[in-house]
Amino acid sequence: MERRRSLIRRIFHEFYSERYELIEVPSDLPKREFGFIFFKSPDIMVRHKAFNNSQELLEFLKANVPMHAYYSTAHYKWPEARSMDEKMWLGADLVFDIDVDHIPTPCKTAHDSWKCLDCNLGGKGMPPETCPKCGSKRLERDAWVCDICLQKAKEEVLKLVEDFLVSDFGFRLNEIKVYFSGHRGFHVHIESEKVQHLDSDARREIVDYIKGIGFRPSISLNGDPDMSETGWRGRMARGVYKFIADANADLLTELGFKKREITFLVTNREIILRGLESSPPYWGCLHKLSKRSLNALFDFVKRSYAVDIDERVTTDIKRLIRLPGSLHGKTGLPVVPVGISDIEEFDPFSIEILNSASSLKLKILRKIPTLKLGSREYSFKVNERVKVPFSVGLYMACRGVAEIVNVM
Amino acid sequence: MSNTPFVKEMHAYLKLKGLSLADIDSDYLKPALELAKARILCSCKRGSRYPDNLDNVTDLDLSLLSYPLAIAILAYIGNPILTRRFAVYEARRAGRFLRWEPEEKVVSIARGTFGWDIRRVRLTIGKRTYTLAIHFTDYLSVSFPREPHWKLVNRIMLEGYVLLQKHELARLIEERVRRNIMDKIENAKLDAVPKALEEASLEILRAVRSSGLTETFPSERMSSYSPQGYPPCIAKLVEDATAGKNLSHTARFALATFLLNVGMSVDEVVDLFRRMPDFREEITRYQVEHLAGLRGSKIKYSPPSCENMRSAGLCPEELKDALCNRVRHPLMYYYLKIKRGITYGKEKKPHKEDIS
Ligand code: SF4
Ligand SMILES: [Zn+2]
Ligand SMILES: [Zn+2]
Repeated sequence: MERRRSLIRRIFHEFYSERYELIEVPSDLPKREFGFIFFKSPDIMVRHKAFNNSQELLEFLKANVPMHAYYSTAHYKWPEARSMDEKMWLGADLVFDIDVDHIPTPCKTAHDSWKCLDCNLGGKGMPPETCPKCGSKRLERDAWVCDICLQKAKEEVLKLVEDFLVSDFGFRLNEIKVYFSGHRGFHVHIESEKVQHLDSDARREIVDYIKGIGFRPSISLNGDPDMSETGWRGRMARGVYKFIADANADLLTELGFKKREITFLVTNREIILRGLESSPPYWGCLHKLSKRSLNALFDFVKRSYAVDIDERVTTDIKRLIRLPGSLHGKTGLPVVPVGISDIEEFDPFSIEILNSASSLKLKILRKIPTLKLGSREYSFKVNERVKVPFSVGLYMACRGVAEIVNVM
Repeated sequence: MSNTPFVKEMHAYLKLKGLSLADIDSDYLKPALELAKARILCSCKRGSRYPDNLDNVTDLDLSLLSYPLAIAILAYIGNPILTRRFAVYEARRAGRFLRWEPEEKVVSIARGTFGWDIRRVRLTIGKRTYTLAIHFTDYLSVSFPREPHWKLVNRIMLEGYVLLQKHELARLIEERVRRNIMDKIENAKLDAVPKALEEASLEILRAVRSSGLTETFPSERMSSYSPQGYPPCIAKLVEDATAGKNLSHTARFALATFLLNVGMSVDEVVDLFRRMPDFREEITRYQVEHLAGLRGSKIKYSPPSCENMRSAGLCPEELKDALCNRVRHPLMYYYLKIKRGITYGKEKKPHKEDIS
């Protein structure tokens, strides 16, 4: 265990000495708080660090080789002070976290699993809230990155940036920075002056807007919306149109529509659609549906447009977030900026970690689910020795399921 | 101008007169002080309007000067409920007048006084016609309980601007004024309190008590209490009580009245005293109900102010934090901390949840 960890640490050390150009020094550096977790005590976070200039930060990383490196989205007058009121909060960037951890993807049952630490019951896929057998909340989860999961995260990022941040909130693309989180998702940062002073309540309103929480059709859709409108009205108009055009009996039944309503929708489909696309639009036909069904329809459409962001991250104005350019200690993957136009092709396993090595020889220690990483699918047998691309190898080693035999 | 006493011009105006609180005893300010008292008392009664002689004060000086005096009095009293009533009342009054002002005037106040980014538009969407748009960051800087139609998700937003009708902008200004007044009162620094001001404060407190005015707004108290908001003094008393230490009479009074004021039920308060060496259920219950205003005098008691806590030896110097230095009343501490979600306490061990 010790030896394995020290080998990983050595690779991290080389990374911070060789590839420091990847580190993106946060704007307004001296006002940021930093936090680190080191290899020697992975359960303790060292906080309240601050750096006067990028030189200091880079030297620190090289000398101390953190397992995880974070900085505050907030700016403080005294970032090194140990208590929040001494720090004196000056403002905070607006950040969003998209993480497939919270998003059910079909592949999760294939590669994720969980175990109850109290009664040992286990299962595939996302963990339940509480153990179904003993009710315990102490569930350990075994979660893996996979290409399908990442694709889902990318779709969410595109929706967030294009549909919401740019068109509704009016941010310019160059104000929006997207980073791969080093694990199963992306972080979106906005540093513009205008957002700095938003308090937590204000940020919650932004989250609610993006997740469609508290959306009231009776208010928002008052006066039949047109498909060319922007914002939620336009989205709902386009979504309802698509829904009616594609609706089949199975989905409608699942949403709780009555037989009579399904027949009505299917037989009058063309007439309803013509109403929706005419100018001004006419939604009158839809009101033949019961209130319940109509709400189920709106809710279904709303959910298809809402973005699954983690509200805790956005509303917390004193949060620490991963430092761009640092390595994620549990995956060995670097946190890197991703251009919005390149995101579809982005593959975290294609990023070169060290200039000097391109592959690793591993000894597999534990069972690993079959995974699609980047363009390739990997499956390993316990005890087997294999040569794999460097980042895949480092990932397995950091996950503790393989041992590095050789750096090549 | 006198109807919207929050505008920047007013502050300039006061300065121009070269007046300060110290002049309060002067004959010149006496009528203004009377007016200030009347304004506060008015605000305590739900649905009450300014008496005619107040709304029609023709003396501009008088009307303008009474405002900072009212703020000073409320700051001195330090009762969050009175403070809030006053802020709501004055803001509403300002809002009422704004609604009758031409759009241009409303816009210029929003821009000039609050620095809001506002655009004039003409757009009909759905059934409504909008003439204004405010940048969403300014829209969100006004925080108030968001009824559904004020929630951002139910607003129309175009490239960062939230569409508004004129009366809605007036309403936003009103909320902002309310917040400003509260901030002013809560942050007012009173070094040497003139005698006249002290007397005025006592007079108001007496009036409030005897007329049972506080009972006109009991439902506005926080409905559920949150222990994270307890000031150090109360947190310590809770701890001592739970540990079964014998508390002095004043300590019990302070603890019970505080908890009742933040919304704890009589039963819960009684439970807290269960460990007292001399605990007798019926007696304790009777006393607590009395404090809660459920018996006898029907007066609901307030906990002692910080000053009184201190002289009773109940303010733990070593546990005081930065927020303590800003308040004069334990309830104010609670109110500020809960309402604003400010953390002033000792920092907790960082939690994995705090990072991403
Ligand atoms: S200053 Fe006031 S609120 Fe703070 S501990 Fe002392 S009495 Fe309590
Ligand atoms: Zn269990
Ligand atoms: Zn997957």
